[in-house]
Amino acid sequence: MWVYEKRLQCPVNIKETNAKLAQAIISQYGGPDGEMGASMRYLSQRYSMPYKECMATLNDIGTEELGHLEIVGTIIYQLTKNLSMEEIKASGFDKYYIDHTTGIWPQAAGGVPFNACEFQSKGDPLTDLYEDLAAEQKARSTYDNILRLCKDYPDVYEPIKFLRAREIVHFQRFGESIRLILDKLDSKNFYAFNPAFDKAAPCLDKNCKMN
Amino acid sequence: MNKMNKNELFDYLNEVSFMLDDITLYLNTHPDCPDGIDAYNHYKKLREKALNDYTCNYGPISRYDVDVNNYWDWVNKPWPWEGECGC
Repeated sequence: MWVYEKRLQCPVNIKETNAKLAQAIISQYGGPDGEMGASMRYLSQRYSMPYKECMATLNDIGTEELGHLEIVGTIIYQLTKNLSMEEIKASGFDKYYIDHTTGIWPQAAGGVPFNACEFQSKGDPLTDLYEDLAAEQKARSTYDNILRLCKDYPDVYEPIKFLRAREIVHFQRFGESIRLILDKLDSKNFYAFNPAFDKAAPCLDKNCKMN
Repeated sequence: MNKMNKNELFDYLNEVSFMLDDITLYLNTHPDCPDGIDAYNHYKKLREKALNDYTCNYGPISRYDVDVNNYWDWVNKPWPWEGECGC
């Protein structure tokens, strides 16, 4: 269950529209390394995660990513609010406008729609967490690319800088999650079994009679 | 603490809430860290007070905290994507 709070994790107040910038930033809404994929990845992976610290990490980072999706959606909404037909034509926003007017729809900067194939939920804790590390770095690179485009727009630059910093914190937490898992596995062969699936995996409850 | 106006209190609420967002992620992978636990308890109190002050003075942040008499005011309060002017 989620409880909505009428506030953004990081405030967004954009005073000038810029449809060209919006078309680039929309990739972090529904693109290959965007916030929709991030939230769906972690919130999907959490079910099969057998370690309690890592389950909490996936749940809570996945929840924060929903908040980031909202921040990116807000940036795009405010950048495209009250556009004139002249601005729509001159900025190249006309292709998006034909299908969505100025509604917010998850797509990549190049127009490719959001697709669940942009993330995995493998049902193997180490596999999933290594994907999560890569995902945070890919999102960080995308935010770096966006920052180079919006240097002269502080209203956009500041929330993007915030989102980029969060990728680095999440990367750190997923790294710690992997370390916690490795400590519980056989150091001679970390891949001897899949702790989320194989019966050979010891129960994590210290008092469990099955061990 | 000096009396904050509406915008200052809202910014402050976001700041202390963010501290909790960050500290709770840290605690998930360091659940027995005493400094982390102290920081959590500290900011939890600040957020509870800020959230309560904001809700009492300027209206609900959550739909579980609506003070409803003859009109469902939740629909009137601006949404976060609307930006500063809320128009």
